[in-house]
Amino acid sequence: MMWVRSFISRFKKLLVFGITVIVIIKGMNYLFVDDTDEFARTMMRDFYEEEENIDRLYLGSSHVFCDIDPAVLDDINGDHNFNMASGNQQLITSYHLLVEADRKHDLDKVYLDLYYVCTVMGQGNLHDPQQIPNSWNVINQMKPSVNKLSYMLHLSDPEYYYMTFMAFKRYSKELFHPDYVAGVVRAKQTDVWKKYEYAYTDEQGESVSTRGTGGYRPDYRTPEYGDLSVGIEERPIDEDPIVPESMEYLIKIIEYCKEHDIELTWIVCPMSELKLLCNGAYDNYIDQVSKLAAQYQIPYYDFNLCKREFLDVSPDHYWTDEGHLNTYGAEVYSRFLGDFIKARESGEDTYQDCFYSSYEEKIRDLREEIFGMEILPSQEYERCLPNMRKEQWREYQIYRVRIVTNAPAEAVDISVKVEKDTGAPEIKEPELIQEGSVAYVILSVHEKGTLCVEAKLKDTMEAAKWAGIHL
Amino acid sequence: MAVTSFTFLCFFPVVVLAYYCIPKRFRRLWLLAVSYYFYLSWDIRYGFVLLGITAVTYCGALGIAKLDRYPVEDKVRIRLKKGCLFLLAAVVFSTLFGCKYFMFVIGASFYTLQSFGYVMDVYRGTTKPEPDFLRYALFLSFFPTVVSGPIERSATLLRQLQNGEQTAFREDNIKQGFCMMLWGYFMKLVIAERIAIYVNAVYDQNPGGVYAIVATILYGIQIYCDFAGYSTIAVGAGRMLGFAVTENFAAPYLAATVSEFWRRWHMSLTGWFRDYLYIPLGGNRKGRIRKYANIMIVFLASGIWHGNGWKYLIWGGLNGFYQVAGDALMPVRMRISRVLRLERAKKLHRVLQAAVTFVLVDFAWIFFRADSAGSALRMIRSMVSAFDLTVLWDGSLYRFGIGAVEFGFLLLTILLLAIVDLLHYRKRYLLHIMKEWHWAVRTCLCACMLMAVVIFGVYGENYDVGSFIYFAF
Repeated sequence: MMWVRSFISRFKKLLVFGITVIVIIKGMNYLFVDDTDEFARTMMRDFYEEEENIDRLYLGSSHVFCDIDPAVLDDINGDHNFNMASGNQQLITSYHLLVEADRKHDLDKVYLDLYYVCTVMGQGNLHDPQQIPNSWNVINQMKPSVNKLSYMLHLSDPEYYYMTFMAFKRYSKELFHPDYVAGVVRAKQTDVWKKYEYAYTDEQGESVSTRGTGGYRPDYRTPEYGDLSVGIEERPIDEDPIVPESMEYLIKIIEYCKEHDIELTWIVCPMSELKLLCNGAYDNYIDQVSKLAAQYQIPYYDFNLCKREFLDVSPDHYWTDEGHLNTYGAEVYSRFLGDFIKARESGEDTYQDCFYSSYEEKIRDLREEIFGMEILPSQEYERCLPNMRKEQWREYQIYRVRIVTNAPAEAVDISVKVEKDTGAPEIKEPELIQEGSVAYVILSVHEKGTLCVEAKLKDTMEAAKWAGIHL
Repeated sequence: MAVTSFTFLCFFPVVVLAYYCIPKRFRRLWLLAVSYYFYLSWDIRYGFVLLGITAVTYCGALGIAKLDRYPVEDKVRIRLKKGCLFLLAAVVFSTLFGCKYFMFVIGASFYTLQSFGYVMDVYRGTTKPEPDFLRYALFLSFFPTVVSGPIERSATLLRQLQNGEQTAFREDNIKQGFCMMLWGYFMKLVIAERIAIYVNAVYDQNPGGVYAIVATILYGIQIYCDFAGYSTIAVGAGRMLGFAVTENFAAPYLAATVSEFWRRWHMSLTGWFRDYLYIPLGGNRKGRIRKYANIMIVFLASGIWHGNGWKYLIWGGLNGFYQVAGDALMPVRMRISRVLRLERAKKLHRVLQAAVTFVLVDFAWIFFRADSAGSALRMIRSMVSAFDLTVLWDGSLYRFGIGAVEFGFLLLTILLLAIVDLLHYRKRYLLHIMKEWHWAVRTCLCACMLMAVVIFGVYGENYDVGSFIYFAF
C-alpha cells in the first residue's frame, strides 16, 4: 500500500501546483486582458447560449458582423441564421469556428466571406504577433475542447505559444502601468462587461455600437469627417492573393463541409469603391478566387460586382467607414442577400444579370463621380519644397491627397482649408500643389485644427465631396 | 540552443523523461547523444572542435599515464612526461586561441580548460586516465556545462560518471533541480534582462553623471545574475539528471575583500587558474614579490581568456592590482580600522568592507562592459563631469527604458537576491530552509516562482531572450 500512499501524495502536490498556476493565470488575465471592447466576446457568448439549432452560419471578418443582420435573414429564409464573424477573421479562425459550430449544431449551409485582406495576410503573418490578436480574442472566448487546443497549436509559431496559452503575456507592455490595470478592472466591474453586453463608445463617450442578435453588431456611425476619406493604407492585391497558409485552411473548410454534408458558399460583402480602388488590382483577386471556386465547384458571389440597380449601398450615409456598412446599410444589404440566396435556391432567375463580369467593367460603367479621397502624410519634401534647404523641412508637414474617381484626372478640382479648433471659426487656406487627381498640401508643423479637403468634378452639377483629418 | 530558448524548454523535459525511462546501461550513452545534439545545434562545425579536443586529450592522458610504466630512468620519464604535457598544452591552447580570436566557437573556452585540467590531473597522478572514451567524451560535452561552464574537474564530474550512482532516480533530485533551475531563470530573465534594458541604453547614449554611475552599479548586478543565473540553471539541470555539478558562485558581492570575491565568483575558473597556473608558478611559496607577480600573471591571463581587447587586459590587471595592493597595504588597513575603532562595530565594519569591495570590483566592470578601453575611460570621465544628483528624484532616471514602477520592482528583486545571497553566505541554503516548511507552502512557492518568471521575465515579443554574456567568452 506504500505505492498508493506515495501516489496520492505526489498527486496532491501536483494538484496544488496546478491550481496555484491556474489561479495566478486567471488573476493576471482578469487584470491585464482588455476585452472590454471586444465584440468576439459577446458573439461567442451568444453562440454558446444559442438554444435553437443554427441552420445557416456566416463566417468572415468585421465586414460580416457589421454588414449581415441574421434577424433580417431569418425573416426571409425562415431558417435560423447566425453570424459568427470576428475582427480580421483569418481562414484558420473560420475553420475552427466552423468546427466549433458544427459540434453543437446541425449546420445546413455555411457562407464564408473571403475578404482579401484576411486571405492575403492569412497565416503567413502569424509569424508577426501584431497580426495575431484578433484570433487570440476568439480563442479567449472558446470553451475548452480538442478543437480549441488544435486552434491554439496551429495559430502561431511555437515562439508565441506562451502568448497563446497565457493571454496576459500579450499585454507585457502594460505590466508596470497601474493606470492601465485600474482602467481594465473598472471596465470589468460594470454590468455591461459582466452581462456580456456590448457598448462601444466613441472618443466623446457616445454609444455608437451595441449588441445585436445572432452575432450581428449594429453600428450607428456615419463618416465623421465628411465623406469616406482619410488614411487608407494601400495594400495592393498581388498576383497571389491567397497565401499558402490561407489556402491550406480554405481547402480544409471545403473538405470539412463536404465530409459533413454542409453546403458551402463563398461571398464577399460590399466595400466602398474608395477602398477597392485604393487597394490596387481587385480584378486579380476576383480572377484567382473565381478559378478556385470553379475548381472546387463552390458557388462564389462577390457583391462588390453587383450592379447598383440591384444593390445600391453607394450613398455615404450607409457606411461607418470605407469598409463597413452601418446599420442602415446593413439593413439594405442583408435584405438583398436574403432575397438573392432565396432566389438562387428556388431557381428563380431574378438576379441572373445582377453582376458585372469584372470590377473594371463596373467602374467603367458607373457615371463619372468622386468616390472619396485618400489623405496621407507624405515625405515628398523635395518635390513640394524644391527651393528650401533640408534643415528647414522639419518646419513643414506635407499631406498627399488622392482623389479617387473614375473621371479623367484633369476634371478634378481640389480646394483645401484648415479650420482652427479655437472657439471662433478661423479659416486658413494652406499652400496646395495639384497634379491632376493628386494634390500636396503644405502646412506648418505648428498648424492645428482640421484639414478639410473639398473635391469636385468640373462642369458637373454633382455636389462637392469633402473629407477632413485632425492635424 | 540556449537554455532560455523555447527549444530547450521542450528539449530538456524530454531528455530527463527518457533518461529515467531507458535501461540504466544506456543512460550515459543517451546523455552523450543529447549533449552532442545540444552542442551541434549551435553549429554543426563546432562538433569537430569538441571531438578533436576530446580525442587528443583522451589519447594524451593515456599516453602520459603509460609513460609511468615505461621502463626508463626516472629523469627520462619525467622529461618525456613533460614533453607530452607541453605538446598537449600547445595543441589545446592553440585550439583555444584559434577558437577565440579567429573563428568564434561557442563553449570552446570552457571545455578546452576542462580537458587540460584533466590532463594535468593525470600528469600529477591525482587522477587515473579514463579508459572509456565515451565516458570521457560525456565528461567534456555534458550539455548543462558545455557552453558556459562551470568548468568541471576530473575529481568531480568525471568521478561521478565513473561511479554510475547518479543514474538512479531520486525524487529529491528532480524537485531540487527544478527549483534551482527556476531560480536561475529568475536571475537571468527577471533581473539580468531587465537591468540590460537600462544599462544598454546608458552605454549607447553615454549621458554620464549619475546615469552612468547607476548603470555601472546595475551592470555589476546584471553580469552576476546573468552568469550565476546560467550556472544555477546548469547546476539544477545536472541535479535533475542526478549529477552534482560544481557550484560556480557563492554570494560574491558579500565578500569582504577582492581576494575573497574571487574565491566566490566564477569559482570553477578561479580554481582552475589557481591549481593549474598560480600554484605551478610558485603560488605564495616563493616570497612576496613572486607572489604578487604570480597574482598579476593569473589575472592578466584571466583577462586574456575573456577576450582580445585592451579592455579585458585592463580589467584583469585591475583585479590583480586590487589584490596586490590589498595585501601590501594590510598593515595600513588594520591601523585605520584600529584608529576608527571599527573592531567595536563589527557589523558596520563588515558592511563597509563589502561595500568597498563592491565599488572596486564594479569599477573594473566598466572596462569589461564598455566597447573598448577608450570608451570605458570616456564613461568614467563623464561620471564626474556630468554629475548631477537631482536626476535621482526629478524622474529623468526613468527615460532609459525602465519606468518608475518597473525600476521599483527591479530594486525589489535585487533585494530578494540580496536576501538569498545573505542566506547563502551564512551557509543557510534556501532549498534546505524550504525543506522545513509544509509541503503545500513549498509547492505553492514553487508555482509562484514559476509564474514570476513567466510574468516578469523579459523575453521580447517573440520569445527573444538576450543571449548570456558569458556565451561570448
